[in-house]
Amino acid sequence: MIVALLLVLASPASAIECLTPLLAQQRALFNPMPTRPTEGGMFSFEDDDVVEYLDSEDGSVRVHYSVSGSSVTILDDDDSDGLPDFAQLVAATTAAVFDHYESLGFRRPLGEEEMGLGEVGGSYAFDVYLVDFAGQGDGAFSADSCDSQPNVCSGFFMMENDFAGYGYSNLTQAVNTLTSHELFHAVQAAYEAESPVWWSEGTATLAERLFDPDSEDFIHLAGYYLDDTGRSLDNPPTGPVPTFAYATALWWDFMNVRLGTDAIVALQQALEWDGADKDTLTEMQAVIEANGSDLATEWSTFTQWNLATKFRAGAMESHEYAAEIGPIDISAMGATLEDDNRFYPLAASYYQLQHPGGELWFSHDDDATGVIFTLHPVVDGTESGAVEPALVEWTPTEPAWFQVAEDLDAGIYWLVGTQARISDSSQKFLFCLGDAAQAEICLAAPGDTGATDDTGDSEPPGKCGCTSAPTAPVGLGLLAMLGLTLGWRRRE
Amino acid sequence: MKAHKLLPLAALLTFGCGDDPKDDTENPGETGDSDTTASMCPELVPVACEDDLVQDLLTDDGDVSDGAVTTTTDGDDFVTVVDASAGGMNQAANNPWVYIRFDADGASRVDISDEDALESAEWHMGLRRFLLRMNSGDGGPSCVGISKMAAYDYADLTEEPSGVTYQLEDFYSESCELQMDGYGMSPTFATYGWWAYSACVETTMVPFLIQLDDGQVLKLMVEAYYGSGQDDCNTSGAAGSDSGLLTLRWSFL
Repeated sequence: MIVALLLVLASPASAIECLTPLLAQQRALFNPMPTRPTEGGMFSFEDDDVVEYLDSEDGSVRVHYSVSGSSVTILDDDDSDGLPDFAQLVAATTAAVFDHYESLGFRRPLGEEEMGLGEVGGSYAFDVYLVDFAGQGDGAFSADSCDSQPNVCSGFFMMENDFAGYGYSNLTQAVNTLTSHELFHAVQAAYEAESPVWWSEGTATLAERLFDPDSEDFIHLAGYYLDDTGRSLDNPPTGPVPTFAYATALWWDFMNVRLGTDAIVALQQALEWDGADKDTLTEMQAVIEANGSDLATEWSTFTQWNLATKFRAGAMESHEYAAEIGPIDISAMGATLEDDNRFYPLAASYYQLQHPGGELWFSHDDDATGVIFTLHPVVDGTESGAVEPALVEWTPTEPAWFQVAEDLDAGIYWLVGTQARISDSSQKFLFCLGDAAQAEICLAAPGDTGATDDTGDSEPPGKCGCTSAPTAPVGLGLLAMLGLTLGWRRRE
Repeated sequence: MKAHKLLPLAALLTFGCGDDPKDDTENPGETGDSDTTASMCPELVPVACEDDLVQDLLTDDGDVSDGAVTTTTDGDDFVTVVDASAGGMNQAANNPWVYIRFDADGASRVDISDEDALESAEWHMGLRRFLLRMNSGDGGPSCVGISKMAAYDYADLTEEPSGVTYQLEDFYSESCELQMDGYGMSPTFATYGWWAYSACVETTMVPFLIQLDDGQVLKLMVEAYYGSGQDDCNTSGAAGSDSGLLTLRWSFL
C-alpha cells in the first residue's frame, strides 16, 4: 500500500514528504500563481502528453488527463461513451466527496471564482490533474492563491495517472483514497492553511474513512500509530517522512467515534484564524470538554483501546477495526517490572506483567503527576489472550509505594501508563510493579521513601490516587472478591 | 524534562585557537593541567533540552548500537568506516546512534545507549545515517567543539590556523524548538555542510577541525556516505549503494 500524498524532495535519504497545505502555501507564496501540471512543475505533463479534460456531471469538478504520452491515463472505455472510464470515475468520486464533506458539516473548498482568479484550468470547476508520479507518491494538493487573514487558500490537486505498480487492491480504493484525502486538504485550506502536519495529515487520513468506511489506506496508516505510541501526538519524528503524522488518524477517528463528526468539524472551525494564535491541542481539549468529556478520560481510554488490538482484541471496547491493526509495542515484560521511563504527554507505554499470583505492589521514585496507570487482565491469563477492561486505575503523584491488588490470580496482565494531558515535558520516573520486595527497589532507601509514623513503622509518602477503573465491568463487590485493595498498605 | 532551554555556560563559549586552551582565565572549566589529556570540561553540562532531544532524535529503550566501526591507516591519516545505516531510511529513528571516540590509535565505538550518552564524555561524535552530532551543547554533556574549514582543502590543513573558533552544538531554540536545516531533513548540527544533495548524497569534502574535550585538535572529512559508488554520486548524481556506511578521514594536528 502506498502512502497517499507524498512527494519526493531533494534530501540525503531520498526521503518522501507530504505536500501539506502549509508547504503548498509556501510554494504559492514564492509563486503567487503556481504552475499547473499543464505548464510544468515537479509533477506535470510532459511535452509528449496530449491533455484533454472532462467534467463531473454536476460541473463542480474538471479532470485533466493525458490520452497519449508520458502521463497517459487508463483509457479503457467500457461504456463506449468516448471518454476514459477512469477519468470519469475520478470526476464522479471527487464530486461525491465534495458533497459528502459538505453533508458532514465541513465547508466546501474555496474556488477560483471566490478568490478572484478567473477560470484557471478553463473553468471555475475544481481541477484535478492525472499525472505520472513515477512511484514517488501518488497525489498532492497545491494552493493557487491564499489570503492572510484568515489564512485560507484555494487550489487543485494532482493524482497518479494510472496507479500502475502501486499497492492498492483495486482502482476504486485508489481513487477513493486519493480524492478523499487530497480534497480534505482543500477543505482544510478553507479554514486555516497553516496547520501542524500531525493535524492536517491525520485528519486528511481520517477523511478517507469518513468518505469510505472500508478504506484500506486508513487502516494501513492508522495502524502505524501503534508502532510508536511512546511519542507525543503532536511531535512526529524529524524529517519529511511523517508517517506518524498520517497515523494520528487513529486518534482522530477515536474522537470521531466517541464525540461525533461534529466535534471534528468544530475543531476545524476552532482552528480558523480569528486574530489570536491558535494552539491545536488547546483547541482540541476545549472541543472535548464542550462535548461533555475531558482530555484525560478520552486519552486514557484511547490508550486502552490501542492495547486491545490484533489478537488482543475482542474482550473489551476498542476500535471497530481493532483486529486489523497492532499489536502495540511492548516497553518491557516480566514477572516483575522495573522501568525508568519518560512518559511524554499524549503518549503511552505498555508493559506485560507475568504475574505469579498473589499481591501486587507499585512504587515510583519521582513526581508522576498527570500519569494514569491502568491494569488489565487477559482472557484465561494467557499471553495470547484478549485484553479485558481495566481492573484498577491509579494516578500517582509524589514518590510512593502501595499495594495495587491483594490477591490477583496468576497470569498475564497489562499495564498501561500515559500522561493524559497537555504538557511541555515528560514525566520521568522509575517505577516498579511486582511483589512488595520489587516495589522497594524503586525507592532508594527506606528512610528516604517513607515517613515514620508513631509506631515506628514506615509509611509510604504521598497519595496513591487509586480508583476502580470507570470502564471496568466489575463492580466493587467483584473487586473485593479479587482482592483489589486500591489503597495504602504499610510496608511489611 | 525541561520545557525551556537554559543555556549552560559551556554552550555560550567558543574556544579560540589562538587562545591557550589551558589558560583557566580564558576557559572556565579548564583544569589548568598542561597535559593535553586533561579535560577542558571536567564537569559535565546537562543537555538543556534533554527531554525534547530524547523524543526528537534519540531512542529511550536502552538499546546500544552494534554498528561496526573500523579504523585503518592511510599514510598519516586514519580512515574510519562507521556503519550508521541501522533501520534504513524509514526506521533509522527507531535505532540508537553509533557513538565513537577519537584516540591516538584510531577511532572506536563507544557502547552506550542514547540516554546514557547524555551523561557521558566518553564519546566524541554520534552518527545515525547522515546525522553527525558532537558531544557538546545541545548534543551532549561534554565540550567537543567543531569548526567548518570550508576555505581549506583537507590535505592543506597541516596545522591549526590561527583564529579558529570552535562551535558547540546549538540546534535547539531558547524554547527548545528543534532547529532544522533548509531541507527540513536535519537539525542544524555543527557538522552542517558535509553533504549536499541534488540526486544523491554528495560529499562536499569540506574539512572540519574538531577540538576534543582534552584540547587535542584533529582534522576530519567525510569522504563517503555510501559504502560504494560515492564518486559516481559526486560526479554524475548516481546514487551509491549501502547508504549510511560513512567513511571518515581524519588525523590529529
